Amino acid sequence: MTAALPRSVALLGPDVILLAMETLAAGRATSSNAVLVVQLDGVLEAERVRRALGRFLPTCPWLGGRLVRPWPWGKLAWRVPAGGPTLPPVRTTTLATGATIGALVDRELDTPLDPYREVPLRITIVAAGAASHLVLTWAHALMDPHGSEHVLRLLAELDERPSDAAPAGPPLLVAPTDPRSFRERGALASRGAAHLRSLAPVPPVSPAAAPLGRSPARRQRCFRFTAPAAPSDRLRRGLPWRLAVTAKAMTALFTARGLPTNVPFLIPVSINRRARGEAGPVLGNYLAFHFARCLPPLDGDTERTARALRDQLAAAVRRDELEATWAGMSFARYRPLRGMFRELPWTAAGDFCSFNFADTDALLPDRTHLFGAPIAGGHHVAAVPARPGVGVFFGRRDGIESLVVSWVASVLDDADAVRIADVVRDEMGWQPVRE
Amino acid sequence: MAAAPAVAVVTAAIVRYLNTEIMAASHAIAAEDDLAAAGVDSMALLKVLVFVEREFGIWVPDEDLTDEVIQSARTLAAYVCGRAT
Repeated sequence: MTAALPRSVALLGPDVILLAMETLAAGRATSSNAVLVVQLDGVLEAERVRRALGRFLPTCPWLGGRLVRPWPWGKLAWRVPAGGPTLPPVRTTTLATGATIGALVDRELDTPLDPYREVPLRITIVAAGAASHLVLTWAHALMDPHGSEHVLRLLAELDERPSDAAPAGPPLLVAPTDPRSFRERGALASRGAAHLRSLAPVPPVSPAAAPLGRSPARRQRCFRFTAPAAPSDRLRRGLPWRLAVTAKAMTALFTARGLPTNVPFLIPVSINRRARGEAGPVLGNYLAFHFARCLPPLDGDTERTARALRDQLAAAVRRDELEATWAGMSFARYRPLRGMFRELPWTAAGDFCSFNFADTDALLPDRTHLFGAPIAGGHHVAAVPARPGVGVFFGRRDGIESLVVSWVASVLDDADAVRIADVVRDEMGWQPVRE
Repeated sequence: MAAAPAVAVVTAAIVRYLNTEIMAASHAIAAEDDLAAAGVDSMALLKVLVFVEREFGIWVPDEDLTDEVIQSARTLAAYVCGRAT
């Protein structure tokens, strides 16, 4: 006999930080939606997805819950309503001839999920002739991209089970409790706060300088490339290189906007805390943060920028700064959302970082099929905060590199996104995929 | 002058670190396993390199981070021992 699952589960520190970032754009309709798009070489049956969700909720009911905060100072948590969890909606639609999935993804980013009032997850199945797309949209505070892939993986496994019988053992769905003592975590958090304060003297600038409307529209564009067949340089596949390449593309953008180029970029870089080789927890942004700073590489020397960023990361590991900021964020759960940025370098205009950046690595590397259809590709994209208003996300699947530029409509336009992708493509030595 | 550590000793230390700090318990890796294929991404590799620096006093500079050096725990250990001599 298994013990009953708790009815609520607290958010992790980074989840709360993501929620807090929305408060920086107070007064505007904000979206913190994140989206996972999976292309499938086959037709997808919505009923199979619903059935798998129905089998999933008994082991992870919080996906069908709501976000609550016990008054006045309790920890934010996902809680199952008294009547039980609600099945996340599974919608179906058809892609018109000649249309692209991009417009639908824009809509998904532009239609915010309100996790306080509705389930924090929805699925859209898009039929496109003999192929289809599965679009998973969630409130970013619910989980990180690795968590969303884990959800799909578990749903696919539940779909393949012959009956509704409960799995032999509960899958790992929630991040483990930090085993360190309160005193140890407190000391780490103090160091983390000191580190964050050290970043504060120079507030960042971002391209979102123009006044934004009350409901700034989100846009994104996904570019697909192939890497050269020759044995590639491992350094070029690493995170510091990709960050340096993105910094070069952003330097061109900042220069074109007339933004100061003597102010260092500040870029939060999320680091996956999960053990490698396993999917790890579903719930929560199980991420440590590194705050990279680099001067805009005006001379275009990507190699030097990458080396500096790698040295910074190495220093952060040596000094345990990643653990310190993780511990610090865990204490942020007790603060009012607006109080969380006291130590961070954000400007009065609300610039928290210069641009968003993530490398989500290989997409579902251990799955060939989902719900009976072969996986043909996919990518992640997240709505960027109103400021900085631009983000770049790397990912890959089966030798195809995906690069997604996500932006707020008044900050960038499609031509800017293409220019960013061009710089990245050239620096990575990639070739466009012939669609 | 201290003798250079044996490749087997360094390999064992790197494998032990990988399996306790980086890899999931159900996905332990061995000395010859390909690190990238096992899921050791650039951030995880950086942690391994900082471990090597702390334990053996050798930092692997960018120019030496070739696919051959960081292919497996054993190739990395061979590099470390080569530098130590």
